[in-house]
Amino acid sequence: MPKIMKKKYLINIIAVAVVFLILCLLFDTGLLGRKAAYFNGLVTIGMFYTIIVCSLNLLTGYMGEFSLGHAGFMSIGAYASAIATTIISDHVQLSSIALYLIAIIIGGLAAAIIGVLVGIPALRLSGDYLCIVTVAVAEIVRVVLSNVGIKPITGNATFGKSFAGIARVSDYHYVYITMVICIAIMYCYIRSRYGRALISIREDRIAAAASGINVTRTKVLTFTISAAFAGVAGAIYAHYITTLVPTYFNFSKSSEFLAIVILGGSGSMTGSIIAAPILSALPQLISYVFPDFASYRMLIYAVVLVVVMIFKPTGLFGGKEFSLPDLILDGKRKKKEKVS
Amino acid sequence: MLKVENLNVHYGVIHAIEDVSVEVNDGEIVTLIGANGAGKTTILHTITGLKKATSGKVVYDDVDLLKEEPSKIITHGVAHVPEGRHVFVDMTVRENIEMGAYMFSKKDKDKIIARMDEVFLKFPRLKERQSQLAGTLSGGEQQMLAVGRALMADPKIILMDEPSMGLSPLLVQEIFAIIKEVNQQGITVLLVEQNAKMALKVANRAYVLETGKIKLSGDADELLHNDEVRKAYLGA
Repeated sequence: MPKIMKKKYLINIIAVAVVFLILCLLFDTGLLGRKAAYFNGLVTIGMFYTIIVCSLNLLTGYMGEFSLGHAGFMSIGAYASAIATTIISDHVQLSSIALYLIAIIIGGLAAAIIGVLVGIPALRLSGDYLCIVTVAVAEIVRVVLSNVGIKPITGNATFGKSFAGIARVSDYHYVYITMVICIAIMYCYIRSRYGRALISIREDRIAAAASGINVTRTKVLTFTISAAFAGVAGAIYAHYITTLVPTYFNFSKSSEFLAIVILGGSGSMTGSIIAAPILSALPQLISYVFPDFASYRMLIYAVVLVVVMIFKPTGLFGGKEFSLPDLILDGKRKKKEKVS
Repeated sequence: MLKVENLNVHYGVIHAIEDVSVEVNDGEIVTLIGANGAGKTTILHTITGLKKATSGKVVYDDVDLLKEEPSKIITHGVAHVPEGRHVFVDMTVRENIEMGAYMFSKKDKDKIIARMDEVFLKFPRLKERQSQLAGTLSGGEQQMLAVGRALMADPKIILMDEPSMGLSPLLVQEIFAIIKEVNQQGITVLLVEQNAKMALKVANRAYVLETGKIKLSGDADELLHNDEVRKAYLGA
């Protein structure tokens, strides 16, 4: 590995660790006092938003297809993981980290399986048609979950219109590490051979096929990965909130994710990483001050989206990535040049 | 040798290609000429699997191309330069060229580098602009990039779809010179063109396509002086 790459990796790892330590400092030392739990919640929600928004960005920014059904994949991950952990913890006593790992793996796998099943027929379509299919899939999932009742699996869990009593294992330490790993995997995927193939399909399907790229397989693979991470986000959500209501995963949730992707800049992972926590926390913080705000949230999103589309149609980052190592190393180089 | 036999292609109920047979021998330049909508592009798309045939045969060196996945066809040495300079506009010139080598694996790194040197040698202008976005190139440069990308796959035969489209007369000359040069290096060329005069000048043999059927075929020189062809396609 070239030395400069090693340096860049090191800077990134340090930055990730520093953010982690800041979070620990804020929440574990009682620095925030009684408000710690509230802010802890905001941060945890912000982190699973980041995962799902990045996963959606994979489709919107890099594959160039819109999905308005990511809440559907999220709900599949949430329900599948919640059922699994409820059954498991009924039979054996597991530590919270083991239960958490099982939850995110089951959540991711379940959503990935549905992703493949939907992707194989649906990805023959593209553009608006695919978008409509994703809406339909999410609605089917939501309607099925709202109507099909399963008898209580265990004494303290109920399933049916809502599902309560899920083990609360989404501790922010775990969630933060999960988020970093998820983003790293997605970023590596985009930078890999498959990612390059994916971008070339977005740019020109015919030229990509003529260069020997299997268009359908690449698209299905990406769709599956995206669905899997949405499922992971769902699993984290389920084990943080502990109560699942199917109506949470409705159309406006899906469009909220898409709005965040576009505001952050589709095709920019850093855009999503910055936009997701801010936009998920902002409504909560504002409604802290103005209690009525929650009901106007979507309205304000719409207005903000229109304004951004007019003044910066490519979103905040517009397909570019922010790189801390580049910033630091370039800064150093410039300083050196000035000195000499 | 590329052999297209009794090919039939439909777009819904429209019979776009009717019983077309085309043969391209190794080392030749063969051109398909014809008016808009005659089915020239459709034939190329069918050869590389981008369009499904209704019936017929497409065989290249004993491989039945109709049974192959589009992504596998290039591994048999059949490269396709699509119509209208399909370059990846938001990628750099270098990345575009690298995409042409997508079929190679990591083990072939040396080969990829050697091929890239060769392409840059042929198109020095691409080398100058390798870190520029492909979308910012001029039309002629984009066409060169599309050809360069196809050459990366080390093809035995190259299918070119309207390489002169939308280019100035001077650039058309340059593109045709490149086609000749590529052919002299032993790569067979199947050329689809609306610019019949230029195509016939550069080609060995030609097929004249009219609404999905082969109307005439023969020596390119002969067709260049054929009265029917002159009237219909050469405007003289």
